[in-house]
Amino acid sequence: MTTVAAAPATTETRWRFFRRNAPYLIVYALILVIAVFGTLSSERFLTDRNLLNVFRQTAFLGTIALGQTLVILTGGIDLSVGSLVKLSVLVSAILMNGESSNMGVAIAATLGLGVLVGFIHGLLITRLNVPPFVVTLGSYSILYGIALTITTNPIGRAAPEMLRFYDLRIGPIYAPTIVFIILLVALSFVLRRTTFGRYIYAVGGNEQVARLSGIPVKRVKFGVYILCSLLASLTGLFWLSRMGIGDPVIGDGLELQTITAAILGGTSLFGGRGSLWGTLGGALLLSLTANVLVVLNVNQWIQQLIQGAIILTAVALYKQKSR
Amino acid sequence: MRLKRVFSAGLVCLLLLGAMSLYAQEATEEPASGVQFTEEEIAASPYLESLLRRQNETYDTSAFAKEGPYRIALASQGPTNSWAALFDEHVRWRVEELGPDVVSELLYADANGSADIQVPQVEDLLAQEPDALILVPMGRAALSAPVERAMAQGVPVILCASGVDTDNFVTEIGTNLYRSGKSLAEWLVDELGGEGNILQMNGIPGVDTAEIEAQAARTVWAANPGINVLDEQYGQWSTAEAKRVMEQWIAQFGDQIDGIWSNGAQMSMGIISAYEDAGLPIPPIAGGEYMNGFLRVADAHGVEFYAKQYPPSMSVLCVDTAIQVLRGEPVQRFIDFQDYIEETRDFSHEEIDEFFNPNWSDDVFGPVFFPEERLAELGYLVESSEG
Repeated sequence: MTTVAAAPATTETRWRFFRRNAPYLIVYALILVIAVFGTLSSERFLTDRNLLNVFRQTAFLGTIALGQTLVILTGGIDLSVGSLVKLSVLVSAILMNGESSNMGVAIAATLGLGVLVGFIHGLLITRLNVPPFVVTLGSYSILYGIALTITTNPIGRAAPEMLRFYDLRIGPIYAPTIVFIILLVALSFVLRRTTFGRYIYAVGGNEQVARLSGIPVKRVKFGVYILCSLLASLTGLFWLSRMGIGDPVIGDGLELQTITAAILGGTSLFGGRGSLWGTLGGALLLSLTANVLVVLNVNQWIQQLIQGAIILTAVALYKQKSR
Repeated sequence: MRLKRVFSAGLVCLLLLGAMSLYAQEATEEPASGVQFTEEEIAASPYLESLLRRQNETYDTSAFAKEGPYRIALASQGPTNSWAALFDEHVRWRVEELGPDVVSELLYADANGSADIQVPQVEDLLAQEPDALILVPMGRAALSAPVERAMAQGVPVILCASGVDTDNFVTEIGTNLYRSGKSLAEWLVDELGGEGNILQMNGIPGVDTAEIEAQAARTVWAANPGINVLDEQYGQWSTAEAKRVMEQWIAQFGDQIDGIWSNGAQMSMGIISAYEDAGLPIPPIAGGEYMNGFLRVADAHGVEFYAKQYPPSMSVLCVDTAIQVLRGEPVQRFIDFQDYIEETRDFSHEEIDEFFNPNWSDDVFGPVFFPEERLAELGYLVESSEG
C-alpha cells in the first residue's frame, strides 16, 4: 500500500524540485554546455591554469553582482555601480600612493566611500520616494563626473601588498576568488537564515503588504543599497590590485553586466524572487563565455551577439519551465 | 626526405631574410627625419627623454630564445574602425606570409577599444601560455600590472602603437610623436617664410598623444618670433567638431589666417570643409596623414599640406619584432617605424600622387602591404567608375 502511494509523491516532489530550481538548473546546464564546447574546441581550455583564471575573473563581476542581486530582490536597481568602481579605483590609488603604510587608511576610506554612496541612495529612495532607477542613474553620472574631474590620466599606485594579493593563492585558488566565495556564503546565509534576509524577499514580493505586516521597509532598503555600494567599492579595490595604478578607463558598462548576471541566475527584475547562487551561475556563465570566445579567437561583436543569445535563451527556457 | 626538409628550411630562411629586408632597410643607419632636439626640449618633455633613451638601449632577449614554430598572442584594439581593422589584417597577413613553420598559431583577442575588456582578455591569453604577447594597450595604467605579470611569467611583451606606465616590457613600436608635431610646425614656418598668423588645433584635452604633439608645436612657435599664434583650440579629433571650431575662427579672424597646424587628418578635413563653405582660399595646413579620404579632399581643393603618419601597417613590424625576440636577437627598446618602413615617412602635397590611391575608399590608412584582394574582402575598395 505504502509503496503505491509513495510513487506519485516522489514524482511530484521531483517535479516540484525542478520547477522551483529551474533557473539555476538552466544556468548551470548552460555553463556545462559552454564548458563542453570549449573543451572540444581547444585543448587549452580545460587546463587548471585557465579554469583558475576564469574563477578569478568571476570574482570581479560576481562580487558586485551579489550586491546588485540584493537590490533587485527588493524590486530596486543600482545603475551607479560601474561609476562607483571607477571612483573607488582612483580614490584607493591616490590614497595608497604605492606605500604599504597607507594601505589601511586607503582601504577603509574606499569602503567608507561605498557606504556613504549607498547611504545617500537609501536616503533619496526612502525619504524622498524617488524611484531607484532615477536616483542611481543620477548618481551614475555624478560619480562618473567626479572621477573624471579628479583625473583623466592614470594616477596613484597600489601598495606592493595589493599587487601581491591578486596573485596570492591559498591552495590552488586565487585570493580574490576566495574572498568572493566567503562573501557568497555569508550573504546567502543572511538571505536564507536571518530576519533581514526574509524581509528582503518580503519587500520585493509586495512592498505594501510588507509595510502593513510591520516590516521596516525603509531600513531594509537602506541595508541593500549600502551593501551593494560597499561591494562595488570592494570591487574597485580588486581592480586596483589587478592594474597596479589608478586608471579612470575602468568600470564602464559594469552596471549592465551585473544586472545581466542576476537575470541569468533567475532573479526577477520585479523583485521577490531569485538567489545569490543563481547569480554565481550568471557571473560564471558570462566569464566563461568571454574566456571560451578568446580561446577560440572570436571577435568582440560576435561575443556580444552570443552573450545576448544566451540571455534570451536562458530567460525563454526559464519562462517555459515556470509555466 | 631529409634533403627535402633541409631544402624547405633553407627556402623559409631565404624568404624570411627577403621579407625582413623589405622593412629593415638602409634607413636603419639614417633616421628618416632630420628633426633635431635641443637639450632644453628633452629636459622639458619626460616623453621625449624616455623615448630617446629607449631608442638607444637594446634589450637582451636571450632569455626568451626558443626553437620555433611560435605561438604568438595578439591583444588587439579590435576592428572598431578602419585603422584598427587594417592593423589586425596586417598581422594576419604577416603571419600567413611567415608560414606555419615560423608562427604555428596566432591567438587573438579583440578588446572592442575597452580596457575593461582587455585586462581579462590578456589574462585569458596568458592562460594559454603563448610564446610572446603583442599588446595594443587600451589604457596606459590599466595594462601596467598585466604586462608585468606576463613578463614575470616569461612571456615577452611587445607593445604596439601605444605605451604603458611601466618600464618592464621588451620593446615598444610606434613613432616619436614629439617629432611628428615638431616637423609639422617647422614645415608651416618654412612655408610661411618665418612670418604669419597661424591657428593651432589640438586633438583631445588630456590625451597624451595630443598633448605631446601640441607641446612640440609650441616650442617651434616660441623659437620663431615672426609667427603669431592667433588662437589654440581642441577639435576632439572629429571632423564635425573641427569644422565648428574652424567656422568660428573664420568668423573671428577672416583672411588674417596664414596657416593652420592641425593634430590629425580627420580634423583637417573639417577645416577644409569650413573653408569650402565660406568660399575662401584655403591656407597651408600642417596636419595631414596617409588617409585616403584626406588626400582625396586635399587633392580636389589643391591644398598645400604636410602629413605625418601613424599607419596601422606598423603591426607588421610588431610581428617581425616578436619573432626576433623569440630568436634571441637583441632589439631596440623603442622601435620607430619610420626608421624601418620607408613608406611611413612624412610627406607633403608635392608627393600626393605617390600616396593617394583612387581605388581605395576614404577610410583606408596607408601604406597597405597586402594584396588589393584582401582590401576588397574588407570592403575598402571603391567600385571603379569605368567598371
